[in-house]
Amino acid sequence: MIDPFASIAELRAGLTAKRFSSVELTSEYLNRLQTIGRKHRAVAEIMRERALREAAAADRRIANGEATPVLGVPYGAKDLLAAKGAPTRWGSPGHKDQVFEYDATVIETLSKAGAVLAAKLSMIELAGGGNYDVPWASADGACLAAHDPTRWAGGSSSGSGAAAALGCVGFTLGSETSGSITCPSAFNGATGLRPTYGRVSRYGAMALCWTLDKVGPICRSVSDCATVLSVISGADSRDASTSSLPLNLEGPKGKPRIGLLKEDFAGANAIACQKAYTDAVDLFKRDGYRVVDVAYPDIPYGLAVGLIVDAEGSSAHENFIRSERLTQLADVNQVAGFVAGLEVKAVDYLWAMRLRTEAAEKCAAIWDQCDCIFTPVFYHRAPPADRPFSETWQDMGGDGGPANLLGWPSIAFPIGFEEGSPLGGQVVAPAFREDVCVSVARTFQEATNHHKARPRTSRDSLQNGVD
Amino acid sequence: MRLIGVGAVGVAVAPLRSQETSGSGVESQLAAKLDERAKQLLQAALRANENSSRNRLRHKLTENSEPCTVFHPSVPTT
Repeated sequence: MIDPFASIAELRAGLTAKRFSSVELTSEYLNRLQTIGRKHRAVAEIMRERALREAAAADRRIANGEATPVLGVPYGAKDLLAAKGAPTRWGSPGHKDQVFEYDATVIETLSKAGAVLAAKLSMIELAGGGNYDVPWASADGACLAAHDPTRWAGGSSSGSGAAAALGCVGFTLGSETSGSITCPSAFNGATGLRPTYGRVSRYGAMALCWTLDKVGPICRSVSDCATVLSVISGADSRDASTSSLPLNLEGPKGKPRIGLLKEDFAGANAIACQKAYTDAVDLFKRDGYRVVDVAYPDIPYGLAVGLIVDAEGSSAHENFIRSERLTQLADVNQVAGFVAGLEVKAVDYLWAMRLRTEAAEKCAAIWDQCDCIFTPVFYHRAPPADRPFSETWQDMGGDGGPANLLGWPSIAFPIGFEEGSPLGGQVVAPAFREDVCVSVARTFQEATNHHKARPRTSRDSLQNGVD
Repeated sequence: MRLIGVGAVGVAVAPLRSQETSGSGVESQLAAKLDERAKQLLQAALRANENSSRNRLRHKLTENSEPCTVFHPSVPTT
């Protein structure tokens, strides 16, 4: 019997013990993608032929006694990653015929390690760089949250978050420019690791912002994220941003000091989130972690991120923006936003890039006070999937700090629930200290079961009408 | 035609348009025809650009500070 919610380690153990083959495991996940995944609109393209071919190859390697951390394990990749010969639509109706004849580095790396690419997963069109305002800003429609299909699965790595939480694959890959891994992780009760900028190659990934984009795993646990990151990280001559600094996820010596920001739960009427957050902090304290109050320097981080996304995003997609296909985008806000991005002044963009230098210097001091920061991803659960964010995105809070601007890593994981839907917390750490993120989040998941909560949806109930 | 001096070399570049601030200006550069809703949203987005330009001036940077972009010249292979 295959448990589709099993961890990567458990799936690997089952494969090694020959309790099931990779072909059988892949077939199970392909069925779940076709039924549950499709119903939640988490799927951009099912890769049946490639998946079964890679699974058969993995079975041969297992029979030969080979072992890698992901050998024979099926996964899904955000549709912003190129996969040879398959449609890679970047979530955009205006790119529906786009096919690349090569694999993105991360997909190539996973293939060499024996992982099985089962599906391309849905996403917000062009990663939402034009300032989307509706959950259905995607060629695949609004992706529905794993635990409540009336709610949005988050973005822009929508399908990655939903598919991981729904047990449609062993693990997924997402990407983040500003929030696109942490948001769907929080809204689906998944665990997502946004690596340090430069930790993972982006070759073959759609560019939204060359200086902000990161590729990372979205899984069902911290341990799974660590496993995937250990496989996909490393320098790549085809991506000049990548670093050769070694990844060591064995964890820091001693317990990291946890910094706590000033939160405004009362102002956001975030009662459930306050309880989840307080319980988590209490858990850390009981486990011997020292917590300290910290504050980010007062710098307009959000304004800088906005200018960079607008300028780099519109530059990266300028040919498309100036083409007749522009108006095929699903969200007219994105049409307007991408066009307006063409008009961002060079001095404004360069101000933002100079601000990053200044912010890096000023914010470094925070790591003298603590080793990581724990904060909610958002103050509330996912918003409804059928209404614009301009009507629903209120009192959501969120980390408006420097983390993305400065390329810091973060791990997002479920810390509780609000009316049955997950709430996410995140641990942010200094650049190239993913080990701190993993260590602290692992402590939490070893003591709690929030990440093990399975969505109530089943194939039968979904067939009775989630749409 | 405008010439920009780069050291002792004059580099010819295409005439620079003045910065467009109206939706109709940038819209004329597009192949796609925008509908009324898109035009309204574009006007709003352009106003947001202007607000960002103004708001960023509240945060003064150190004069002459460097942006976080570094160009690495290629090493000749021959």
